[in-house]
Amino acid sequence: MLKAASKNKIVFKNARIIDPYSGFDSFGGLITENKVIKDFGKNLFKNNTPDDALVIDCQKHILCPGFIDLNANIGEPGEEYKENINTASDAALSSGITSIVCMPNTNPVIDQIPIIQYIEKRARETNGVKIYPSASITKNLEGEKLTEMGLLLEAGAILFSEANKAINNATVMKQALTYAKNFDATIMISPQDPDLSINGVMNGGSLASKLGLPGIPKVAEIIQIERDIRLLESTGGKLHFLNVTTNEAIIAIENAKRKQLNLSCSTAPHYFTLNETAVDEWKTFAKVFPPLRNENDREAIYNALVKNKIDIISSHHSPQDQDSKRLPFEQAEYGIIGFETLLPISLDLHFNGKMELINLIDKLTYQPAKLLNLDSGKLKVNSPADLTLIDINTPYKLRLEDINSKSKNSLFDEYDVKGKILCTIVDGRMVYSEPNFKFSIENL
Amino acid sequence: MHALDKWIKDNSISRKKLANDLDISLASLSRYLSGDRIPKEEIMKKIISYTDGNISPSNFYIVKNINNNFSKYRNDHLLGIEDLKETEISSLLNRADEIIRENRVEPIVNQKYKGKTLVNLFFEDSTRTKTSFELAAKRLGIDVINMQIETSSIRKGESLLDTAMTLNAMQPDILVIRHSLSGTPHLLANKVNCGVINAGDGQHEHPTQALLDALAIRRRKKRIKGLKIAICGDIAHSRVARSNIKLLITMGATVNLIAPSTLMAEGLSDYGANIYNNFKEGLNGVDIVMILRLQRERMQGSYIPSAKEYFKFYGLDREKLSFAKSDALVMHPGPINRGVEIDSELADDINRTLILEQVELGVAVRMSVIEHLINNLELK
Repeated sequence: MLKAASKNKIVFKNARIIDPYSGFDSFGGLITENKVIKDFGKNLFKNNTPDDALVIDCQKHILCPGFIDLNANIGEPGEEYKENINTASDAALSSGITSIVCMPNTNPVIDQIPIIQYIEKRARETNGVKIYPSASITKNLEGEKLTEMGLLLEAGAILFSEANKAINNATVMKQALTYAKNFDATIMISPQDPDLSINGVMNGGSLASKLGLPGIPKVAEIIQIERDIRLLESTGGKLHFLNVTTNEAIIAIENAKRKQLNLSCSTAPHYFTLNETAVDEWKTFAKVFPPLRNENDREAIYNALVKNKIDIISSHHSPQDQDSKRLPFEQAEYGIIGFETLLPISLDLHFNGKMELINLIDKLTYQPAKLLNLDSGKLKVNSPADLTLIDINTPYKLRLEDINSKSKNSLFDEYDVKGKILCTIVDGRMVYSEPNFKFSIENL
Repeated sequence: MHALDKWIKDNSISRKKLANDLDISLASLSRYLSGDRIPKEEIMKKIISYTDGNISPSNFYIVKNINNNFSKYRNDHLLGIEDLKETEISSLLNRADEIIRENRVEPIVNQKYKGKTLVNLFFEDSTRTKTSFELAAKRLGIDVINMQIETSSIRKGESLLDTAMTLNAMQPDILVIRHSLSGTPHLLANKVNCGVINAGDGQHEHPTQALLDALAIRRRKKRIKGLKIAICGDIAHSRVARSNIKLLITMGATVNLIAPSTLMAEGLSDYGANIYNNFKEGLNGVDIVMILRLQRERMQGSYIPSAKEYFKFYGLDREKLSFAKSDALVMHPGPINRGVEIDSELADDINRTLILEQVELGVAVRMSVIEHLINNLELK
């Protein structure tokens, strides 16, 4: 590991620089100074490099903005035995993720200023990945009374969400959208109708019936999305749907976007990579919420990403310890970890789905930055120097033992993938470097 | 092993080379091979031509678990009818028949299994199944330990694996488990060293009930193959129905499922069952009518409006029974809700029902299953 902040200037030369924001995709160089990007371009540092900078020869690997993850559970406060901010930060940085939005379904719930302050303090102490807390829409996630949105925003809340829940009461949802508009704040919903998904633990249908498990029907997602779109139409405001998993959801969102609503959506790698058969024989690692759907829906989500109908890919990082998963299926907790598999699994869209790399990186960087109004997520002079260097050529095997996250509940163990993170920069500091990556560094 | 994997081996090339030649990533190839994904048409064409037609699309449409998990349970445990082949079911039933013959001549306690231990681990209330297992084990000379776990602490599931590990340390030979959550016996079977018998898990399976039902049918009708059997009632929540559907269809019977659509489970027609919402249509020409128990909490509310309405349309009485064959027999796994799913007087008619016989045969079937598992364990 390189000493952090050894120099206040870092030069990346001989890199394939990809910036979805400006559409730049070309070999060249980039320089950071202090916390920001100072310059980048095609011919920069081709022949000579400044003497007062740390110089990294990128060996034609890909340099792009660090990823911004919209949907992460980091265990704090309340479930530090599953994940804490230090382990989450290490896991994120080693995955090229430089910013994360953490979910409010902590214990206690992020519905008050002190909780936001606590997370910010812990993030400062950790001094790794940038953490943007989201606050709950309603007090204690009960779906009844709105939180103090204005004050929470002032304290640092980045948006409002009920984490894995939707708001059942249409009046409350309408009020939330209307009130959030005062502050131009985003409402983020994981759309599954609570009544239709009650008791359900996997995708509704033949397989659930065969395993004797209560199912969550597809229609739970479609109804919630269609209702919330209607409300958005009447109220205005900014709405984002997390974890869309069905074909019909994509169609509904596509139609709504044509009406010029301020609407966006995201999904996570497991929803376009795995289908319900991953549940196999009550395999609790495959228990996620919303559930893994059938093959048709998986394919629909995959194609929707390729065709740019889904704006963002998030990790849906949900660490669970062994005791929370080694239970009968219905009692086990929901969740799968996602940081370390975010890029390698998503790259399948590029290798097999023929998605342009720049479009894929867009969904991990600039699109979430735009939704969150962040200055990062793009390569721009004087923007934060949050960067990551990726090798997409060398194949490797994902192994649970190599994972930095405190919990190891992944379904992608032993997957053959590409997409190794070589180093990660946050605010101009090198915060992660791959142990086997041979930097050729000048001026050290 | 996947047919393509075998082909790779037989032709001594590597996965990597194949992936390269097909212009796909190694990751996609391994997903095709593991059954996680099916190749797209263009890739499928490439594979077929690359292998000179030795590999066909049908090689990729495999059910993923066929060759791994299920078979490993087959010899050591009885977790579901799903794991059993026709011949295995027949041999379990044949042995049960023999046991009945032996017992009717002279009830003897077999000394062969002396010193073996069976643990009844019931996380859900049960009278008949538990006693039946206990009696079956005792007739075989096996020591029985009954564990009645307090229902309240189980709901949290806190002690499940701990309990199992503790029991395992006592080295029983057979663990009989009933649990309100589907898949629990499978979870335990992976953790313990003894044979596990599923005595009912959630809404999944109840294999010994299906075996004894089959035995009752076979003894009266002399066969199962070719019979037409109706299963009626709360199919959606019934593990007995699921085990029976699988068993009867495996044995060559025709199965009609009859239930109001709110109580019908999805996907059961995949097993080859016929679905009916109308009682009379479903009963047309059947040899056996199996009535399922309707739990009280489902009688009021969103599944069906009332017990009265249910009995009117889906309860079995003599009038509805007249649509079945004239010698059709009535079965019920018990306990009976008289006047809800079956007419009280009809339930007591020993000429038409097998209800008490079912209980009696349960012991023999369970003896047969226990013997089978212990013999298998000893062979190991």
